[in-house]
Amino acid sequence: MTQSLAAFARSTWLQYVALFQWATPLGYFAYKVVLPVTQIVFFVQLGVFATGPGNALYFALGNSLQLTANSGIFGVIATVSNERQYGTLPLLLGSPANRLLTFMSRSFVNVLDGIVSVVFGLVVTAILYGLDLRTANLPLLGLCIVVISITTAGLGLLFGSLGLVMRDSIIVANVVYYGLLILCGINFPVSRLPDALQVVAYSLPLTRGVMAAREAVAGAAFGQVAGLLAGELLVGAVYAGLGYALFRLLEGWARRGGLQEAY
Amino acid sequence: MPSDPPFRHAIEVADLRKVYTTTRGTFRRTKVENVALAGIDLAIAPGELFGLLGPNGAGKTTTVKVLTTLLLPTSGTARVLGHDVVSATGDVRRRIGFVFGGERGLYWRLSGYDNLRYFADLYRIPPQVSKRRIGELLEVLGLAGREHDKVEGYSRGMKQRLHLARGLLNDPDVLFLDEPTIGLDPVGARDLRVLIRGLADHGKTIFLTTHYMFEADAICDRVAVIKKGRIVAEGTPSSIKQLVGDIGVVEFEVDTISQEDIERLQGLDTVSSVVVTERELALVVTIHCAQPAEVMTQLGRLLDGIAFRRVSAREATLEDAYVELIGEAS
Repeated sequence: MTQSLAAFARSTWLQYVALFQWATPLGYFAYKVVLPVTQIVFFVQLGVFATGPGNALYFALGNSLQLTANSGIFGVIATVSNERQYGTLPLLLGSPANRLLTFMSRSFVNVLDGIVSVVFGLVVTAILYGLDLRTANLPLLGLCIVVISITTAGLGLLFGSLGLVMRDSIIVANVVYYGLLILCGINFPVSRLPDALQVVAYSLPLTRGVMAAREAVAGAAFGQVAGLLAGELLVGAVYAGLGYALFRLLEGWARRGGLQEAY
Repeated sequence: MPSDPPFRHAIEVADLRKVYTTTRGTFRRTKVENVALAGIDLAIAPGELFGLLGPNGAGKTTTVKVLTTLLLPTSGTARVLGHDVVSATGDVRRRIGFVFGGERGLYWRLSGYDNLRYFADLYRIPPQVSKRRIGELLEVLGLAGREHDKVEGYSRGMKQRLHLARGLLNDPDVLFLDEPTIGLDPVGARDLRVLIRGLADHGKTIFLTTHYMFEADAICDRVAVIKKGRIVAEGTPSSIKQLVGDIGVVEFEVDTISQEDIERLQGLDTVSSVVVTERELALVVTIHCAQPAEVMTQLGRLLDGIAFRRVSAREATLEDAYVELIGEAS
């Protein structure tokens, strides 16, 4: 058991360092510090320009929470597309490794990364826009951050599977990332969306989690957001399950077409 | 560990076909079928070093991909150590290693040691075993001392040796090597050939693809020549050379030669083919023929006025036989 856990932790860390250009101090600073700050500042300035200075915190908080998608969507999708790019995908698929464990280890590190990103975003929001967490329910906020990091990785798994048969699945990552930015209550409430898009919003991860996190910042108790968090987890689990099923399906498709090496 | 089903051959392939279906056009798409394997049969004994030879696109890599479970055949059967490569993938994957030529297929940001450790975990090799085995492989493959350097700083030869170390991590019974010496310098390629031969001498079954004929001649127990998805010859390197008859080779160098001169040479009854290749500042004319001595005596008459030098006659090599076979099969 201890050996298996050690192997799991080791392979998780090694694949993270192997696959991501941000797994160096300078790379991490560029991707995980400079880029998020830019996103937060951009949307806050845009929002303030459009709606007035009173809403700055709303935009800053939403964009801080959405940073988890940077890891959960881009990170998870890139784990497969980068394997393809480096020519290691056939080695992975030709090994007797357990697909579920491999998949989990790849997502796990991105979940942790997502949590760190959101915490960093909140620190930036506190410094630049005066986010005051003294009245917030911090344990609940922490739980919300963990939950949205897991659920966005679940969605990432679904689209990451496309990397088995698609050369440019990172384009999909961009579409999904910006889709979440529009639909999940990051820069404006979901209730302002057209009805059809509200249905889409509630079928995506992040939507309920961001609502719960906003409530936690306002000092809500666990009981007040338990339903939102349960719904968020359920949506994430559905996407993760679909992601695993799609991975196995596309693995078979890739075997039929010899698509693992197309890059 | 589940036991193997009974088998006589380490690798057994029967009427294996692979047809790729692609599309042509952007708006009005039409399906195009490309036959990569047109029904091949192979039987490779345990401990044999078998070479599959053929030009680019002949079906070598497709065969390796099917046998390593990466590609599903369209029809036919393929078994490795008695396990079906389509239905018993787990059993096959545990018992084989595979190495594709070239620089891709390694994690360049990791050290050589970490690359091996990562793959050892993927193959679920216990840590104490993997530590010992990685050390041994690094030593044998000449990577000891550089194992903690990032792969991005390795030479091509080092990367290729690291590929081989990775392929041997799980101590496979059958090793597939797809053009393992491609792009290596002569010394690196020779060292790798010695290593591969050594592995076969230690009982590993090796399936090697290459289009370097001297390489196959030097190390393979048996070879097969594949052309357009069909096996056109199979046997020991010596028997393949004999397949093309009592063929010899006459070679000479010229500064220039006209098409008429080439056609005159081809017109001789005993000549089966004439190939002209550039080598540094000269053209080398290679004549495959039945009676080299007689052809040599006629060169002066046929190439009147042409200054030719370094005339030599020799027995056919595997490459000469290969050129004949590939030409005949077209």
